[in-house]
Amino acid sequence: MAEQEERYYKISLLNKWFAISSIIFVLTLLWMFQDDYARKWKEYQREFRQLEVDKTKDAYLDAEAKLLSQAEYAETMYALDEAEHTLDDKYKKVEELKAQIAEKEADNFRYTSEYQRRKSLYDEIKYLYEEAIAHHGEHHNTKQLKAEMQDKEKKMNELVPKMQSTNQNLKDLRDELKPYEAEKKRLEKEARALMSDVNVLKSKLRKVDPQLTSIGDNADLQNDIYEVDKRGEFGATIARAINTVGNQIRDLPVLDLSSPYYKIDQIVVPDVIEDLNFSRVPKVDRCTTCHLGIQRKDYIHEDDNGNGLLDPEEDRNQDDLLQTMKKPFRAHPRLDLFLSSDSPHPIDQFGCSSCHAGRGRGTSFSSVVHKPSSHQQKQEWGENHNYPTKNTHPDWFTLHHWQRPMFPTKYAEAGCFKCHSGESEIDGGEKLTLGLALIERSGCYGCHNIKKYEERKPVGPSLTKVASKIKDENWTRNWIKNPADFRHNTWMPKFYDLLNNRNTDERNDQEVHAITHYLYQNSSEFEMAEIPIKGDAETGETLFNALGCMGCHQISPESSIESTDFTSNDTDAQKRAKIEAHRNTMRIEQGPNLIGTGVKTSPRWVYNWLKDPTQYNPDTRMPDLRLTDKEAADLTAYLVTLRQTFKKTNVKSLNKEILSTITEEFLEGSKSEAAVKSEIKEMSSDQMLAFTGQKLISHYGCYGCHNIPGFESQKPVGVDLTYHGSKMTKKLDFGSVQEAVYDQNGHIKPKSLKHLNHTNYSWFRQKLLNPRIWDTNAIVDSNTERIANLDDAKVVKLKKFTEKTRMPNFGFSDLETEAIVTALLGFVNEEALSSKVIPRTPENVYVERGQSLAREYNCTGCHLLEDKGGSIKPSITNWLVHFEGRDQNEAQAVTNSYSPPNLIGEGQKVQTDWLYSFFREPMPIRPWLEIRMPTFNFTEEQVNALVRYFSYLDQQDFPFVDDVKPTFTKEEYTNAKNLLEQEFQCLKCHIKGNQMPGGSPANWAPNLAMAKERLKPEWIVQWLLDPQKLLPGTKMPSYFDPENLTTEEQDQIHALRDYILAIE
Amino acid sequence: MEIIKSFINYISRPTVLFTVVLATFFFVFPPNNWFMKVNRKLRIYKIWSNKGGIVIFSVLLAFFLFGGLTDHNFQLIIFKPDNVPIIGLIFGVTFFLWLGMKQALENDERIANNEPVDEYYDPEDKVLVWPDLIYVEFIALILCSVFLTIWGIVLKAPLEEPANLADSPNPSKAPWYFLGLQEMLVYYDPWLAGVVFPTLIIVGLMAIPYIDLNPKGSGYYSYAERKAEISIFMFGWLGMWVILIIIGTFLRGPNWNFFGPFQYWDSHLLPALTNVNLSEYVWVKWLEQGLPKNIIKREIFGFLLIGGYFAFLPPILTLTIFKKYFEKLGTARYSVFLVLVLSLAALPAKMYLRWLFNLKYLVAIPEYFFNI
Repeated sequence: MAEQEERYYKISLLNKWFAISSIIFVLTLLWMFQDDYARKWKEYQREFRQLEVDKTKDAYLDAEAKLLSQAEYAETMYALDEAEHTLDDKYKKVEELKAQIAEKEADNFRYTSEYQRRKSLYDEIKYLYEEAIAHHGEHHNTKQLKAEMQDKEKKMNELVPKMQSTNQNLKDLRDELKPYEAEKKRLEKEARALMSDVNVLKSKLRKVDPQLTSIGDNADLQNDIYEVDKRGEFGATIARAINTVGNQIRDLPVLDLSSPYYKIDQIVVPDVIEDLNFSRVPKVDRCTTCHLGIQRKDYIHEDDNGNGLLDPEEDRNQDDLLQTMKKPFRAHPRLDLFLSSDSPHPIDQFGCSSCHAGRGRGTSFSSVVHKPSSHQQKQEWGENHNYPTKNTHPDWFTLHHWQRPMFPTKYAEAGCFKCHSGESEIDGGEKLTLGLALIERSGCYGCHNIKKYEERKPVGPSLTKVASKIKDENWTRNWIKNPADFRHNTWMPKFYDLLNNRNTDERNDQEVHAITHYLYQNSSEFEMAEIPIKGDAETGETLFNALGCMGCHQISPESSIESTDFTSNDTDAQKRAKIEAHRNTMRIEQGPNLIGTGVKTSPRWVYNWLKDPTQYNPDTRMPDLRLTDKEAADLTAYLVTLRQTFKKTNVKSLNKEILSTITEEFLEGSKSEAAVKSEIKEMSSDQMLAFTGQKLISHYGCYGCHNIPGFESQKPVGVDLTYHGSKMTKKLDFGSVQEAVYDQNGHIKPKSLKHLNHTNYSWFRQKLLNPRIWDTNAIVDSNTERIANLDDAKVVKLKKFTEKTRMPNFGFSDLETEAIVTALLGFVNEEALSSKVIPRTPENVYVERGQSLAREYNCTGCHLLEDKGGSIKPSITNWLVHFEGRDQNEAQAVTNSYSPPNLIGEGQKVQTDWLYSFFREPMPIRPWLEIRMPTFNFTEEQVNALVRYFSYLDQQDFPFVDDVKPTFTKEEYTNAKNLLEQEFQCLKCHIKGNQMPGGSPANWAPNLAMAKERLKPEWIVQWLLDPQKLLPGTKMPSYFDPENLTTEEQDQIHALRDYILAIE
Repeated sequence: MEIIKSFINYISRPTVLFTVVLATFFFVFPPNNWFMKVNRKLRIYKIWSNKGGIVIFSVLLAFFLFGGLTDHNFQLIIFKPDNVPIIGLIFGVTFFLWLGMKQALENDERIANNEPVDEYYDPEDKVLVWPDLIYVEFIALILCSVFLTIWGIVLKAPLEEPANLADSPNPSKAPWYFLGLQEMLVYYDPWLAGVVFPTLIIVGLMAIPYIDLNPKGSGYYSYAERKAEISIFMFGWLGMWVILIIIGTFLRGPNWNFFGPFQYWDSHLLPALTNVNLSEYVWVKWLEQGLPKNIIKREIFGFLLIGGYFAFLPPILTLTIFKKYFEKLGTARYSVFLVLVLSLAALPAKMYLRWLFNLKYLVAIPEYFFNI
């Protein structure tokens, strides 16, 4: 040992240091455990558990009360009691039997085991004997073995009768005992069935709330839950203690590795592959770790529930618990479509992030890349989850570079498109569907290539013969400059007076002159027939209302879109309703709003257009209504009385000086300055107009929507949008646009001004609302996500005219913008898994094609198709009131009778050949209707696709082979006729050949003579059997009860069918 | 406040910062007696005293507190998890430098007074290992574990998203210890900055014990006895490595542009950077003709310049400032030493050529991936 003075340090001091640092180390380790143990998701699970405890307790008490009040339960319990008593009476006998059985069982066991032992000895010898024979043949040794074997066999078999007898005895005794207990067992089973709900809830309550704190001090209930009557007082106490303590122990740090209550829940979807660029891994989603109620019907929140998932009573009575529960615990709003195992998207096959995007493996709020829907939500998250806002420091784990951040809830439907890209109507994706409909209607695909729409015709009218249609060039100029001034809800977007050209009005006017000049110069002649008869405007108005024009055209001087726009406190359910309302508006606004027809064009043109739209424009979607000359003349007379015109637009006259500067700019691109100067000098005004007109049309891409001579093979001007949702955000130019939070007085809140949030959806939104925004220094209000300084925003980017942003403004509302952004976000460059998409069978492909055609030609403007549309009905009611003199209530009641038919089950109903010829040449089926099915200018492919669509939609074979050829004896024929005319009184409503029924046409029904050609025989049978099932709400009375159909009735139905099919 | 910030931003510009460092470096670490005299006269050595240490640390601390508390852009940089260790590095390097220099100067004084140095021990004496050394080491080990554990809890590992070829982070930075190399890549072609120079650094570090013949200063700190050795090493270590790491960490932003510590990292910033090769300077700008087709002829001036650097500088240096070394080291050692010194000096030389003349390459033969 070294001496004390030889030390460098005092050992006692070092001891102290050692002690202190060790203590600190231990504390640090504890801190580490705690830090690892106390994860945020556990808090959620604890909170959810409390919710579960409350809910389970309530459910249990309800179930228990319900059980006790059930007469059946009381009876069963009484009977059970009785059975036990009876059994008690026979106690002695039962006991005796049981004792005997026990005795016999012992005997039996004895014999059996001895038998087994002897058998094994016998088997041993048998083996040796067999071996010996096989190898040595018969000799002395084998003989001895054989003798031995036989001896063993004998001994073994001695026991067989004893065994058999004890077996028999046992069986007899058991049979004797059985009836004594059978009744009790049956009753017990019955009681268990009755109590199963309660028992399930009991065991659940034991699991979630082992100490039963939720029950309070109610000892009876507590005993009941721990099943004292079954386990006994002591057993229940022990069970409760083990349950309570065990529950706490298994969630302790470190010990929680085995089977904790609080644990990360994950869904692995092996066939959905997550591409991490350098490795491909199966999709793993841990979202359900916090979103605990997501699959639970009893956690649906009222705000989310707009589709009748809950029964109305339950819906209204949502308790406080559900009203106030945190968002992550809410159920998915569409459990009928998602997550549940019987829905088309079960959670174990799709996961969560396959649709919602985000990082499914994350277990903390920001590591899963949640994205807020609004500024308000962002603030909220900032406070609750340390989500980075201006005021909190950026969280290190906000994955800025995660390729597919989660879609904000308001854009969640974008995730549907990847797999449902072929469809036009996406169930559950109403906002996405609206977005797609808007893209189609606005003709985005005219300037932006979108693969889905490559085959589509341009969306605007053809301008090849514009000079014949619109004589007034001045009108055309005003229209190009400001279309909405003439027609407030036009789809033609605005190119002028926008953020980056509103201060160059003089120049704008000259551009308009040039464009107009080009269009008129290149317009070809349209030969128009004279109007043969003088039309009557009043009759024309009646016709306009009656014929069905209003399925596509409105005459509305006021805008109606505003009323369907979102407000900030709309619930999801309300939003969905507004989207549907908006779809309806869009349907009846398929064609232009006809205000101002008389100003815009000539009566002669209108007449010729109505008579045959394809004469003027072979590509038009306007159908032929097969108008007589008189009808067409009347309609024309009415339409030209509509004379609304421009209110403020006035294009200034031609200014050669400005025009030449524009010409110069376009010439500069390819020539030297001197050459440009000399060329300009030689150009006349007309030459300049023609030259710049062509350049400007090419610059703005007018030919994307209109057929313009000279631009037939020009490429679209805009960027390709096919995969726009996958375009990296950093490739979008945010310019100098900023965002800020404004207070109530319209002042920017201090320190809130910053660059516009760099997300693709905020870029899309601003681009759609103000396409020219990126050239300016606009400031977006973070709350409304609209430009706050619209009047003051200045162009700050120094660009040449041709470099400036040029997309026109469509004047989209918030609702429309949200829908289009949803669709754009969905346009992703990701391959949909063939196992997840709707199978690409011809049937499904034709259904999709049909849907697309139905939307393009607006079938749902008049008809109800796949439960959507029939938007014309309000105008029918209106017609009945104003032109037919019915009062409002009556009109509403009979509207359906005067409306175009509901096409539910059309494929099942009509014959394919008939449907084909009907599309080609519609004939009246319901002659009392004023409204008429028009002749559409379909191509062969389109008609075929539609016919197949209807067949496949109803799972019919195509083409359908019809082989019912009825044969009658005379007597049968008379009987059938009698049934039809007398017994069922069919002709009271149905037309038969030329024979009209009596009464009001509102009650009439289609001509039975057409059935042979038109209807499928099997459908007639089904229809007669149960019309309400095929067409809910039909006027056709039900004569039969499909549940209890007699043979006689069956014969009647077939007789009726045969008779109908035989009508000439 | 803003004035201070823009002043700091100004002096952080690499030209200013680097020039200031270069200009003052040899006065702070004097390599010979003349610099030493100035150092004494200006009392620069006082920074290695206790008071000096307090001043240095106060300035550093004040700078980080000022920036960290008042400036959002500065916060973003210093709190980036990758950068936290580098802030530790700044304080650590400063502290140990100060400590080492302080002890060295104290020893210098003792040596001047003919006293034994602080680290002196009697070779006959014994060193106490158990429990003295082991116990202290053990306590240090525990405290280190505590420190690392707390660091692990408080600063979560800066794990990022999966790498994506199509979406690389901007700026895309090497790990902090390689930022010096990345900075060198701005001035030299990869084969030089990424292969030759790093090799020379390692070889040079290995060669030091064989080049350095000064027997003094072994086992104890001393500045006066090893002026040149320490000065040259410090120049390479602080001036050419640590500074480059600091520049790379704090002053290089998106697109590898320079930003002051209090400047917003604007990824759209467009500094005018049209760099021109020497051959273009000579042939096109001065001689007003096209570049010769022949590669050798085209790049002849660059070759001459580099040849001159390695051919004419050595004799000049040998006859002037390195005369003493040549005599002391002998031809072989001296040659190795000179190659290393010239290579070391080539980096600042090229940096200045870039900053002053926008010079891209002295020799540019992209046809064979050979650029200097």
